[in-house]
Amino acid sequence: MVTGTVVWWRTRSSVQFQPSANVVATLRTEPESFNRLVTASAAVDAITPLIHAPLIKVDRTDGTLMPWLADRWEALDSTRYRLHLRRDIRFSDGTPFTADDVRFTFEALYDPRVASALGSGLRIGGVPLTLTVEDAHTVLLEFPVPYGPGLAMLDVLPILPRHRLEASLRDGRFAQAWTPSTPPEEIVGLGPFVVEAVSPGESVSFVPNPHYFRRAEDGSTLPRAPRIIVRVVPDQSAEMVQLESGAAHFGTGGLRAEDLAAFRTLEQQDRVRLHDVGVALDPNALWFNLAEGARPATARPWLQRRELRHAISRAVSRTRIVDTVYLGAAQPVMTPVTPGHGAWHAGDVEPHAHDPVEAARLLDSIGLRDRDGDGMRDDASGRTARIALLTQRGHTIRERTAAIIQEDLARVGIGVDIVALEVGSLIARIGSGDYDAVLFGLQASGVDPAVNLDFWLPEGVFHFWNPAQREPAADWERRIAELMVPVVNATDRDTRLTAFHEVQRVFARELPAIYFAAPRVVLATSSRLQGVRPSLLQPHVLWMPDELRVEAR
Amino acid sequence: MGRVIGSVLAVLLAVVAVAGDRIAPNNADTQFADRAWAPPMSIRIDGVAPYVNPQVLEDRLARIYTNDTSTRIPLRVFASGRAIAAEDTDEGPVLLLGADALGRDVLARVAEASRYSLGVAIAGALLALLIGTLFGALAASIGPRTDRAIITVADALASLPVIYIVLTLRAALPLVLVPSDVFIALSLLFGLVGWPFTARGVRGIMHREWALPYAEAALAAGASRLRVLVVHLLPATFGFLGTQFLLLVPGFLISEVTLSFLGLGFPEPTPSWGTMLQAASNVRVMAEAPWMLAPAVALALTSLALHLLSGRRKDALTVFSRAR
Amino acid sequence: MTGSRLIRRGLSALLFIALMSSVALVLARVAPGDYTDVLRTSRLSDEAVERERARLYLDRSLPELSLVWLSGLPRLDMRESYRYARPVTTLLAERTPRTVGLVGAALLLSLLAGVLWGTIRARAGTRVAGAMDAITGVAVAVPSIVLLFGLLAVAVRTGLLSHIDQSIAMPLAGMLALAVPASAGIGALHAQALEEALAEPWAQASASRGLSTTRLAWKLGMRIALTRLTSVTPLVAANILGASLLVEVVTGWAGLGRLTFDAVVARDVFLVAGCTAAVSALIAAASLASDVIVRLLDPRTREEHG
Repeated sequence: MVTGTVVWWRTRSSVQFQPSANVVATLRTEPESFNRLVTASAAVDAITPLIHAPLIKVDRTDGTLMPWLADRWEALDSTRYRLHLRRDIRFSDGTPFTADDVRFTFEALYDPRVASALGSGLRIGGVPLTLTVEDAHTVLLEFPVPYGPGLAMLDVLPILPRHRLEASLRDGRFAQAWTPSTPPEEIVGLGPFVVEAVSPGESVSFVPNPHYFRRAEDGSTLPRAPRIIVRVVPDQSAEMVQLESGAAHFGTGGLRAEDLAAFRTLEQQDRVRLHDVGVALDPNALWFNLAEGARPATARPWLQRRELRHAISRAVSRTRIVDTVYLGAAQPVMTPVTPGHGAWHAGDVEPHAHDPVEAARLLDSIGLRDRDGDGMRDDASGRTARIALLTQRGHTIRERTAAIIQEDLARVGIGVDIVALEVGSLIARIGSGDYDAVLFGLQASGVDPAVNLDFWLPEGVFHFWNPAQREPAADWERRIAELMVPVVNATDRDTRLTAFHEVQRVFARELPAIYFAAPRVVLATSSRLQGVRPSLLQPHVLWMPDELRVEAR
Repeated sequence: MGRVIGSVLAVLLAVVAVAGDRIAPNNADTQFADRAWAPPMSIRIDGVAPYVNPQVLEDRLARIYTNDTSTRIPLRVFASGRAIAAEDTDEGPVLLLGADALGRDVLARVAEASRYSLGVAIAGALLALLIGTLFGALAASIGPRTDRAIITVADALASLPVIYIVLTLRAALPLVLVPSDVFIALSLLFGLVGWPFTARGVRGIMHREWALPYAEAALAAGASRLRVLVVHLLPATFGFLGTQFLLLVPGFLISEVTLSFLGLGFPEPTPSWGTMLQAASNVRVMAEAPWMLAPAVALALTSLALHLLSGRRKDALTVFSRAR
Repeated sequence: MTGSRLIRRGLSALLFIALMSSVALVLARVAPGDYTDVLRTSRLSDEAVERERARLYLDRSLPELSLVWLSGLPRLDMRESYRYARPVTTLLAERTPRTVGLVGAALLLSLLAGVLWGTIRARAGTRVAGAMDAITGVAVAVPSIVLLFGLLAVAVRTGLLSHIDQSIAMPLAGMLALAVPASAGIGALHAQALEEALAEPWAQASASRGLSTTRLAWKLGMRIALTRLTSVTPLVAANILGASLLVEVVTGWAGLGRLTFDAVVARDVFLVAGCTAAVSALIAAASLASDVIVRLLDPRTREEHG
């Protein structure tokens, strides 16, 4: 008992007030590793820009390419680029950086023993890129085919130190090389910070990399922050409290609608600064299992009818979802491409208006009528039309949206049973095709549709309503696949945009997935935090940590 | 005095549990547009006629509502099949305990939820009594070896905090079940977890009774052991069983609330005290929508009523016999 | 307290822990859905998924799995947690002290407050006693979670929460919520035990002899009552431990309760078994400790058992 109290006192004292110059951020979970090639989670994505550097970085404010480890490059032809690496750069342990490290990184990326998730994303049509070393500071990068996004792909690839990781790659221990229990001195990178200490389950702290190659415009050293502490706060409400009290300077994601009013007040009191970075890129989707021979559809063929999806799109009030789930801080949408996608968004694709009469007509047209007078529609065999809708348990927005869908569909006579599953089981059910309909969303990995081919192409694994098709199952699927070719392979931006706008029109006509609303993403940062470059893509603030600093008040 | 208060409360609770959302002017699952997070409406009296002022949504994002004092919605008691009813009106719903995130009447939901939460706690307690009596009787009546076996298992199970056992057992089932399956599953779980306490008590009573002269006499007169057990010994346990029941129910209630809070109980949109508390369990909601904590008050009142009813025996076993 | 008895108790405690944790392991494994689902979501290739499954013993049968678990227990090797990718023993070592701290602090507070309350009650006149009993009745009945919500709601509405550091306020509220029902229960028991001890023949006899023995009687009476209290403490501790699970979840206190829930939901088989082992160990330790203290405190039992 006494020891218990003492231990409790000690653990409490470890959360003392921080010295005022440290920058404090929060994450939902602690990073599982410090090696982006091995683990692809939100937490690892967030801390990678702190300790690693890519060859080329994408400026998220305007989408342009910034010279980073590569200070200039030229395109030799439509598939080959020569990149010139900066000279006299050192890793955080003093070892010089050369083209060998780039070669090593690509080797590890495509090594079958590593089975890197990042590696599968950096292949085009399944074929890896080829990297050739020309000399100590020049490399040649070759794409298998002309590729729309081009060198912007390199933004996500951190360059790893050969001298530290080569041995573990040879021994097959690469995946276990940089875990939270690894001594921080061994985690070496080219980023602005290095790992200082890991407090398991609680926080990770970073201090400036003495060998960081970048300098500010006025020549002073970067990074500016003397320390960045990333705290693990699993609960979004607790995170909001930390933001409000100033214990943390910025959080993981955008503010929830219910927090907006309170934070607007805080902004008026000059305690936080709010950044409206645009409409979210990943609205939730309601889709049906459209695979051929799907079990639910054999007994209820109407589940796969296009008219049903159009009826739902009109029966569910997007305005009510915007008003109730997002308290008005959202926009109705029709496709997964929202205004947040910038020029990629096809402005002429309008979301359906709330029209229960038209919905009823559509449902009548596929034979769903109230045959027994109980107020609910029945199919031809007399069974009540019911849909089992799977969604993610614990995700308040999805649960509330599902509840509104259920209510609105009940008004047009369709019964919906909501089944809220833990995310792991949900994804398993989606993978096995064992469902009627799902309400879920994919996290956006980028704005450029060419990086989301798993979703757009019929053979993609994330083409969720009917994944991994060997042959396009319908004419419109084939049409989209054809339209995506110039989107991926054309290097001229206008060609790509035109084709992609047509893709959205086909999507809106066929509605394989129904989208309702996308919230505006509003980030809150402490008013004492300077040097913030907020971005719509995750990680919203940590993608560019060089200039972050906390002003004393 | 305590028993009187306890009985009154218990009767009130029983009425609410039976009536469900008919206690309130609205149904538990109706979502009212433009009423998300609406605060409670106060009942005013004009002479003897109660009424409320309708609410008007001023600011959706800041969730500000004002009262329109120029209009009144009269209230009626025991009309239209409800305990409190409002006249049909365009002025919006009557929300006596406010509304939740989806604009649903909190009073109706708390009342409707009592059916599920109390229902499963009572069913579980009855099952625990049944199983416990069976095992306790077996332990006391068959022989020393059975007795030792049963009591060892009972002691081991009884020593662990109930919620950990319930959680682990619950995990062996599919994480998501439909409400009727949840009801059955939870009742079974509670029965399985609660029997040791009953068994120990029944065993003790039966040991004592078997040693009494009348039991020997009955056996000598030719009655079978089973007959003696059922006809003569069992009634001696009734008092204990009654008290046990009143102690088990609050414990199971807390377990149901915990499970639902953790998402392992009744699924949305089924109203349950646990899921409603889960929605209220963050600082922002407590600060800005405290009416969402109504299920906590209901829970406290139920616990209080049952403890008062069970009398004031103050030995350790009754006071601490249920892990919370 | 004989050594052999202590050893026997210790052994049966170890057996208890091994058994409980194995049962938990089997249950978690039997559950539909397993960690493989989560693996598939991390965009690993199929072979990588298979390799992970083998490494995490997901492809073994139930008996094999139990054997793997039991063989590791004596070496305190509880294998690895899927979800956290770290050894279970490390996770338990981090989280258990936090729960022990929370529960221990609540227990300590409730013992002190309970003894105080009980002592006052034992000496109180009838009217005060009646009022105290009413308060005790309510305090015992109200569940910790309700108290916690009440405390937090009050703290938030009065603005207290914005002045005190969250990381102190939340666990403090949790501890208070856990301690109040336990204090009331202990208070009631202690009052009863004290009254009974003071009513015993030797206490009455000392009082009637007029030696300045009211104090002696008091001291001995206290000692006996405290002994009875100590034998009840494991029960109280188990109660508080049970209530602490939900309190930990609500206050975000990173202890054993939260870990167990996360493990159960993630089907993290070894972690579930490890948490059960930890909880069983805590209960067994509390019960053993209280037995030892009882034997030390109560002169009568010491005479009985030598």
